[in-house]
Amino acid sequence: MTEFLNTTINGLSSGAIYALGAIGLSLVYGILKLVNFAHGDFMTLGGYVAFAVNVSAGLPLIVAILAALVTVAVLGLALELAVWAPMRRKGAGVMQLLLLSIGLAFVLRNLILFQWSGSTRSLDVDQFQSWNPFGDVVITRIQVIVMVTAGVVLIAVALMLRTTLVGKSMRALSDSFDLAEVSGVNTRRIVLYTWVLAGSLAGLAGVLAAIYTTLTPNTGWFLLLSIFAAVVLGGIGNAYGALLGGIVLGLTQEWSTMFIRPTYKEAIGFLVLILVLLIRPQGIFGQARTL
Amino acid sequence: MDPLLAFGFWAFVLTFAGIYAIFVLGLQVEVGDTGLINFGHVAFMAIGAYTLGLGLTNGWPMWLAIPAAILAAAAAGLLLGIPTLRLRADYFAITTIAAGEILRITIQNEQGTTGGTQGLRGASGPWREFNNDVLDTFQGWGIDLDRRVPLLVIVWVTALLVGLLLVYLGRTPWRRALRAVRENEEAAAASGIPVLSYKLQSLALGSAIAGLAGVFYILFSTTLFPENFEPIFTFVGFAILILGGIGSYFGVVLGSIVISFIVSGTRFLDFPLDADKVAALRFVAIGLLIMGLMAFRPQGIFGKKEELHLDA
Repeated sequence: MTEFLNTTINGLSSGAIYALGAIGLSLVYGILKLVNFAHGDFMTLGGYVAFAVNVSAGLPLIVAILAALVTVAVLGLALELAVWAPMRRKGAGVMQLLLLSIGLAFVLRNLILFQWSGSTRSLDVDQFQSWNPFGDVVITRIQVIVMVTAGVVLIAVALMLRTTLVGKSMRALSDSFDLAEVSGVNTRRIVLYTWVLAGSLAGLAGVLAAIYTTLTPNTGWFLLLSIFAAVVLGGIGNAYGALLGGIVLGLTQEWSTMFIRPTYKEAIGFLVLILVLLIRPQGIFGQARTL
Repeated sequence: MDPLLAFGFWAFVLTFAGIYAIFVLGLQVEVGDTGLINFGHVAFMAIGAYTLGLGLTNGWPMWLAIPAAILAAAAAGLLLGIPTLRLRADYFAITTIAAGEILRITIQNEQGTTGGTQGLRGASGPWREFNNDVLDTFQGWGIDLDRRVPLLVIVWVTALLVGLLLVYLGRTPWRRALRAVRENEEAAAASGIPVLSYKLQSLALGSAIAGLAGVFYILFSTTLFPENFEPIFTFVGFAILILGGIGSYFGVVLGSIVISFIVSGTRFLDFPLDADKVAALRFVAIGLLIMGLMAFRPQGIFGKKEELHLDA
């Protein structure tokens, strides 16, 4: 039982990070038909901006988180205006945009490597403080930070998607771009809002990943495939699905460590990804029409 | 730079380029001829390399272990293709990268068999003996060869032979059927072409060629590490493919030399920067190259625009 609770806490922590990354990736995929391989590097950038503010400049963690959010959101907007919108106007195909995003991922990751070198960094957070809520169940300070921050933001995003006009428009666009456009949705503006949302969530996910694990120029890239798995699990383009998919994936990976070696847990995530694509490509929460 | 050292250095760069050329020729069959975006291509190279490595360390002779390595890669291609080829292009791409990562993580974990992160050692003995024999023979004729020359020559002769084989296949109905599948699956199926079977054949052939690249990879690097087979290897392969031109075999040769030059050939240039920073800038350059090509010339240098199918 203790082991189950401990792995559940670990799974919720990593799942919350996957969920934050997956929502933006899924919306961008659904709305713009862009499989953004640079999304992981958006997260890494968020982590390093937080590192620069929190460690290099010595400012509080909350300032670092906000700086990361803003920077990555601005990057998302800038790339939309400079790269993705012109490419869509040219009529670029799905695979063309996908390969372009791989080039972009190379550029971002290696600029980060250039600026901050490859050494492992960590943020100014107490790494070792932990509590035993009952018995041998352990919860660390870091996990509390990750779960509380991600939890609050995820609930806020879910409410935003459900109740606000912008949120509803995003989901409508992801469902059917043309249909939303003829219904009078200002698609151009919603696309920009989507990038702001995707960018800031990726930035936050990157900071939390930097707190929860370690920060290297590969941090986001290594998370990206698991985040893809979360997106596919939730049904591509489905923002709630991505949220739940992230958490389900985090739990699955951590629970699997009760039965097999923990170093295999990433592979478990990828196996889930392949099985879902083969058996139920609309995702476990999606309906066939969202394909 | 000392000219002798310089020769060794360029032999290294060009051998690496030749291995990449073979690897990307396999990718060309899948991507260029058939329209299958396989992001897990490096996994088949890993299967070739590890099959040969494990065969040799377990005392198999070269003549048996090399075909086994190629066949194992081809069989793995079939095995992956049967369930996944029905998927849409973008899903297929993500599935292949995930499958490749599962393999890499497995190699990393199964230390007892593969050496894991400690590396698979001791497989280079038979090759070293063969190499020494070749060098001795040439010495007998009064020619002093650098010890890197035999592999360099064999790699490029193989790349040439693979290229010629593909050009020959290009004149057969087989490749015409592949291209028909790429151009329009429904029309191809309606004309009686068994689409799935052709895609499988393409994936098996491409994987076999990747396995062959893996054979040379282990002879080249002598020790195998799972991190040699990260997805980035495939992505650099895609950079080569895109630069040379999707659909062009000659483009693969040119692309692999240019990209290998950027990745390792620029090491002799003296930059007023740390080595790490220069390494990072090299990959920034490759990334910009991919972005620029995709934006302005997606067909690459030698590709034909009308043969390009990137709309999934």
